[in-house]
Amino acid sequence: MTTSLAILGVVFAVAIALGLLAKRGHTMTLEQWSVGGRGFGSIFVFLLMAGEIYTTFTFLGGSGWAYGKGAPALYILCYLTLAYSLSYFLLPAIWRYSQGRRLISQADFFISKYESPALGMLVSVVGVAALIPYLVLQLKGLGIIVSEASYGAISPTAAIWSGTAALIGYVVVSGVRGSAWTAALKDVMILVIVVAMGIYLPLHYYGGYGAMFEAIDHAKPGLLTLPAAGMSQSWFISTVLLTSVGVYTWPQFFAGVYTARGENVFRKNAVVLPLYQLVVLFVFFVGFAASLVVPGLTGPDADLSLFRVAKLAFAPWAVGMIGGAGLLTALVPGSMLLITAATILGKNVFGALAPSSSEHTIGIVARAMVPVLALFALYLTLQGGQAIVMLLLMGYNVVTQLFPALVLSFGHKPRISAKAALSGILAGELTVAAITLSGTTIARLAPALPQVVKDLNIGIVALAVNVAVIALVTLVTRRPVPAQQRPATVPAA
Amino acid sequence: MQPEAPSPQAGRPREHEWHAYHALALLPTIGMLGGLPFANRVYPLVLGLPFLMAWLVGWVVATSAIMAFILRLDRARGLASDQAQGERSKAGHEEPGSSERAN
Repeated sequence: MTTSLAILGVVFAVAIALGLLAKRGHTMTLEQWSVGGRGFGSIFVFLLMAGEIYTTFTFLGGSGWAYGKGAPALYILCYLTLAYSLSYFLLPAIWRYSQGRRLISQADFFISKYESPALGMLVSVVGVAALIPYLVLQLKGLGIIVSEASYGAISPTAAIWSGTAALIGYVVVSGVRGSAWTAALKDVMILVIVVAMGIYLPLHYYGGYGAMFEAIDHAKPGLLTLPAAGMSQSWFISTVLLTSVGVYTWPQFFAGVYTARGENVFRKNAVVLPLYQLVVLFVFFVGFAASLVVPGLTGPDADLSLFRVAKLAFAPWAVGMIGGAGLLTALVPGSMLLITAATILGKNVFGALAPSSSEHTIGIVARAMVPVLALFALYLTLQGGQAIVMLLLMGYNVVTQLFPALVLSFGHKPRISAKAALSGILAGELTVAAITLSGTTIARLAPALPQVVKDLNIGIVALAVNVAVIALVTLVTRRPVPAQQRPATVPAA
Repeated sequence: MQPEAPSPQAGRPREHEWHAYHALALLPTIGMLGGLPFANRVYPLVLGLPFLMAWLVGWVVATSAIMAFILRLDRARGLASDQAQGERSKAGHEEPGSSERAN
C-alpha cells in the first residue's frame, strides 16, 4: 500500500530529475524541444523508436487482450515486426528528404513535398485527431497503474487526475531530450520486470509453459487459436497489414525520424528491433497465466489482469516496482505524443493561421498547448469505457489514411497532385468517422457476404475508399505536365 | 562483383537503388500471414508454446535475419555505408550557414 505508492513516487522523481539533467546545456528552442536539435546518435534514436514498443498499450493492453481474447493479441507481435521490415526502406527516404529543409513536424513534410499548405493543415488535423485516442489510452493506463498500485486507496478517477498532472509536469520540464533519457531507464526496468513476471508466473502457478498452455486449452478451448468468425484469420491478416503500414504515418514517429544524425541507424534498427520487441511475448505469458489464476475480469476490465495477478503473487514492494515501470511506460510515450500534438498545433495550425508570429511566440503557443491537450484527453478518458487495444486500433484507422499520400510522394516529385492527396485523405477520414460513430462492421453492412470478407478490419474499407478517390481525382484532373518545369529543390551540397 | 561505371548522377544525393534481393523483405509478410491457415492450431506445442504462437515467433526471428542479410548486401554495394552517411549529415548541418558564404 504505502510501500508501493512510495516506490511510484520515487520513480516519478527520478524521471523528473533525468528530464532536468538532460535539459542542461541546451537552450530550449522549438527545434530543441521537439526534435532534439537533430543530433541524436544511434542509441538515442534506437531508444526513441523502441520506446514506442513498451507503452502502456503493450504492458496493460497486451496482457489484457491475451487474458480476455487470447490468440488475437498476437497481432501486436506481427504488426510491429512487419512495420520494421518496411521501415528499412521508408525511414531513410523520409530522413534524406528532411535534410537541410528544417522540417519539424509531419505536416512540414507534406507541405514541402506537395507544395500545399492546405494539405499540411489537413495532415495536422488528422495527426492530432489520431493522437487523441492514443493519449486517452496512456491516461487510462496511468489511472489503472496508480489506483492498482495503491491497492485501491486512490480511486481510478483521482489516479487519472494525478497521472495527468504528472505527465504535464514531465513534458513541460523536459521536452524530447527528457524522453530519450527516461526511455533508457524505462526500457531497462520494463525488460527486467516483464521477463521476470513472464517466467515466474507460468512456472509458479502451472509448473511450466507447456503445462500452462495445456491447462488453458483444456479450461478455455479455442483461446489459443484464432476463431472461425469474429477475430478470425481474415481479421488478423487485415489488421496486421493495416496497422503495420500505419506505424510510420503516426506524427510522433515522423518527428522521431528527424532526430537522427544519419540514415543508417534506421536500417540497423530494422534488424535489431524485431528481436527487441520479442519481449512482448512475456507480456502475453503474464496475461495467459492470469486467465486461470484471476478469472472473471470482463470487457475493458481485462486491462487490469496484469496488476491483479501481480498483487496475488508478489509483495507490495514488488507491486510498487511493477507500478513504477508501468508509470514510465505511460510517461515516456505519453510525453512524445503530447510534444508531437502540441508542436503540430503550435507550428502548423497556429503558425499557419498567424504567419507573422515569431518562432519564439510559436514555441510558447506549442508549450501552452500541452496542458490544453492533456486536459481534453483527460475529459475523454473519464467519459469512455473502451479497452486499451480498441483505442489504439481507432487511432490507427484515422492515421493510416495518410499512408497512400505518403508513399506516392516519393521520387523526385510526387506521383499525384496535392488535390488528389487531399481528396483521398478527406474521403478516407469521412469513412472512418462514419464507421466509428455508427459503430458498424462489414458484417452488419452486408450480412450476405462470406465470413472471410465480413471479418476484415473495417479500416481496410476506409483505405480502399481513400485510394479509389485518389485514382479518380488523378484521372479527372490529369493534364500533360511539361518536363523539367519544377525547379530542383535538392540543396547543392 | 563487376567494377561499377561512374554514375552520371554523381554529386547528387542518390535516391534509393532497388535490387532484386530487396524483394526478400516481403518474405516475413508472406510467411507470417500466408501460413496462418496451416499454423492456426494449438498442438504440437513447440518449446512449450502453442503452435500458432511458435510459428509467429519463428517469423519474427526470421525477419531479423532477413533484414540483416539485406543490410549486408546493401553495404557490399555501398548503398548503406556509414561513411557516406557521415559526410551527408555534415553537409546538411553546414548547409544553412555556408550557402551565404558561398555567395
